[in-house]
Amino acid sequence: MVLPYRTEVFRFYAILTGKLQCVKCRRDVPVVVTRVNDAFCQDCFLVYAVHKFRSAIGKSKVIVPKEHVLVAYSGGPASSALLHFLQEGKKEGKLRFTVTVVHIDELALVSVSDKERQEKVQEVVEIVQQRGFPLLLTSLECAMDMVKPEAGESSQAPEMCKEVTSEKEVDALANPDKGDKLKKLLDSLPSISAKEEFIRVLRNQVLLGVARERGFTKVVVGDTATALSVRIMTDMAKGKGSQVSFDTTIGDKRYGDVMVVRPIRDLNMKEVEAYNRLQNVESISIPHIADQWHKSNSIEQLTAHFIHGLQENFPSTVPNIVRTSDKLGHQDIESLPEKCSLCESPLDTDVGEASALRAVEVCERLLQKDGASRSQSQAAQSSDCTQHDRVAADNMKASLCYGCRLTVKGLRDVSLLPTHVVQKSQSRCLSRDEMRAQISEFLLDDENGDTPNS
Amino acid sequence: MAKRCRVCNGAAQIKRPKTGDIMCKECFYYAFEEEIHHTVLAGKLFTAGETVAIGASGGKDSTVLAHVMTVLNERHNYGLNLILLSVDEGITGYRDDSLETVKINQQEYGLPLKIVSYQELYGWTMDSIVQQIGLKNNCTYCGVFRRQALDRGAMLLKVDKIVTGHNADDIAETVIMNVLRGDIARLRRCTAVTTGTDGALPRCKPFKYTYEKDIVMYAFHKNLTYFSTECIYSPNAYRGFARAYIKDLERIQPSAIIDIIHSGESLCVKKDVRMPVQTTCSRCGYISSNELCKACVMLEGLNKGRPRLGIGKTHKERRLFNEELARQAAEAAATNCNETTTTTTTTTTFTNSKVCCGGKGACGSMGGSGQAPEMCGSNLQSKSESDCVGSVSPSGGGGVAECANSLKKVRIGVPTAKPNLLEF
Repeated sequence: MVLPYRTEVFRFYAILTGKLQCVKCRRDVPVVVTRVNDAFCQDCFLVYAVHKFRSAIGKSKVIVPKEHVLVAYSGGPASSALLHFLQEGKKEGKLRFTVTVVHIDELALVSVSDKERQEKVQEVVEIVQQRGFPLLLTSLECAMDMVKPEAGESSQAPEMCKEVTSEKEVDALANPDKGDKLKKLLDSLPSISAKEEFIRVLRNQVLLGVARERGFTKVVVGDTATALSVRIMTDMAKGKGSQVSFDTTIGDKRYGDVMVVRPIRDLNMKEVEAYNRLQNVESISIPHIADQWHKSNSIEQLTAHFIHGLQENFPSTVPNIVRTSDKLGHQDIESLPEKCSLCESPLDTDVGEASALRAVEVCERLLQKDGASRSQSQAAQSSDCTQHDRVAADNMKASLCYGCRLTVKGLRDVSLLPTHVVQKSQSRCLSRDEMRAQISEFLLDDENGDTPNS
Repeated sequence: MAKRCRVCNGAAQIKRPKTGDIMCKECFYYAFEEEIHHTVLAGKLFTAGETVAIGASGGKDSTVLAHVMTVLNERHNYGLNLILLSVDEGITGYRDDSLETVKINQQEYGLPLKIVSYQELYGWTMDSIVQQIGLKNNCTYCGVFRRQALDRGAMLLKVDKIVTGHNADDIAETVIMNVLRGDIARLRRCTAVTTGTDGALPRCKPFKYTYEKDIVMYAFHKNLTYFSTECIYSPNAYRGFARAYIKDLERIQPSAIIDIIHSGESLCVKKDVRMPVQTTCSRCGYISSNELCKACVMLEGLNKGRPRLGIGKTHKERRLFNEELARQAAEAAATNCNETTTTTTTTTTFTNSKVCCGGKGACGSMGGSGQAPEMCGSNLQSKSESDCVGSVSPSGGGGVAECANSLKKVRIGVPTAKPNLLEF
């Protein structure tokens, strides 16, 4: 039987009069309507949700038995549901891998007192202990001076994270120096979209840093289908199209040594919320700097607003977007020479002449058509930044992907960036393009730039 | 303190929309034209001696395109023969006005002009098409027909290439729209600066990196005449959503448009994804990815009174159509009388006896790639029966067939068309 209307009132009426049945068992009264018209009773819905979770991991074989995985928990509804799925799996004996939870404390960016910060962290500790998993605590500012330990060397860098075994051990992870460094950097970034992108990338770096320090090879995150569709559109809008396929796939292999796994990517936000409601899963609301940003100044908020609006009228929007990204791939990872020093994705700046990147460069070059005026404008600028700064900025720009270049654009002093980023930009190998540019007047090539031998 | 131009330090009059730079008019013209010149060079768009048709609609893009192509052709010695090619879709009040603008352009730049019209090519104008199909999917018709019309006109003129005035905003909208609709084949093709290199006439977009606002700024200061209203049939187009999103994005970060184009260029499709293969249409010989090209399918649908034939899942519509034909033949043979125009369970599919849900989306049909229910038109009560969108078939199987459930009870003109709940 097919319903002609999708209004809530009509569904409610239909459920009441018994016209609408659970689509699975066709027996019980439905309590949840997911997607367009699929009505489920409580038992069938829970089975459905758990099945989605388990089959995502099982079919893709991204996690092998007896592996130690790191699970990222933010306190929000999606990661709370993720923890609950894992706990249920463990209870039923179906969980084949061991789980350690990590929580990143981002309260350094919000002006809360130390005591409040401690309380929030305490809540996290309680919930994770209830679920029965060991917990690692870290904070966003720890990424400001991360150093990747060389093999064999003992790391002199401070520890990224602390283990928490009992509630009494929670002292604020706040490291005021690093926190100030982070705040200063964020204040120097000119736009809010740049700030939010930077925070997101830094969060990723923290997860990777903790995983590398403690020897994990898999990090599990709670990205729902809805969040992924917003992520895809935001990536497109910020010039990160090359990363779309990485950001949405179930097993994200771009970092090489650590894989990011997204097991709840087949469930959309409504289904996760329904699951939380039916299973009484608590989530914590932690204040975040993004709360004060609005769709008129933040690209991510604008995109989220756009997608949710479309989804209301065209219910297949989110599945369409995610399915499109499933069809996208990338070049062979091994053949990709360099990674961006900020986000560690493969660089996408080695493009041909007829491309948007070159068009942007031409645009800038045309501004300096008159030789005399160029030295004038340079003289005006030289009081602001020294030659050294400019070289550092050029080096930094060349080591970043297109999207990260946008994030960092307008940042006067690139030394404010996290230590590992600055180090990577200084010691990277020169790309072939730059080598060619340096010796171009001595190469006896034809116009296409092919070398005579090839 | 008066602002100084960033380049030449003279008196500045403009803040450039693309970059936010303060510039004087001359430096802006120079930057604008030279960026397009760079696009032409980098994309290797032209070779000397070619005849190039400029797709001219009379709007700002094509007017500025005609102007800039003439300027650059001279300044940089492209050696091209330029012709203006215009398409008349038959939209009263919109297209006839813009065609006047094209004629003015022809005189201003001294270029020959050719106009092709839907009426002479297909026998249908957009006005009559919209009467058949309503306001929802009319842009599909117009787009498919226009593309073929441009190519046919260009072949008549024996040109080597077509240039169109698609600007950066258009391409960014197309990228976003294709991601939203899941059209992976178009997503891969849409960011190419030249399309159609295999087989049909190549079409280039020299304005690919030029912002729409820059084009308006240029046209305004150079006093170029153009016709500037929106097509009257376009407000419900899906592209409108993508356009609104891009406009909002541009307000937050002006570089977002080029960033989207860069994202589109960096996309890489997995190897095992099925892509449409290019063949030729068996009926008209035109380029197509199916046995029949879309224009032929649509025309057949229009001529037979099944305008939805080209929209959504063609094979389903065709199957339903064939079943209907078979049934008609059987009935006619059995009862030996004319087809009835009102039956309780079925409606005939010929011409004007279509019944619909009264515009409330009651049929709940999902078009093509899972779009919203059919909204046949918001105030259908005031229009005649023949304006209705969908035709009906009682057989099941998705698509328009679901209409059959509520259609038994609903007629046009009933203001609130709620289904009768007790009769499920």
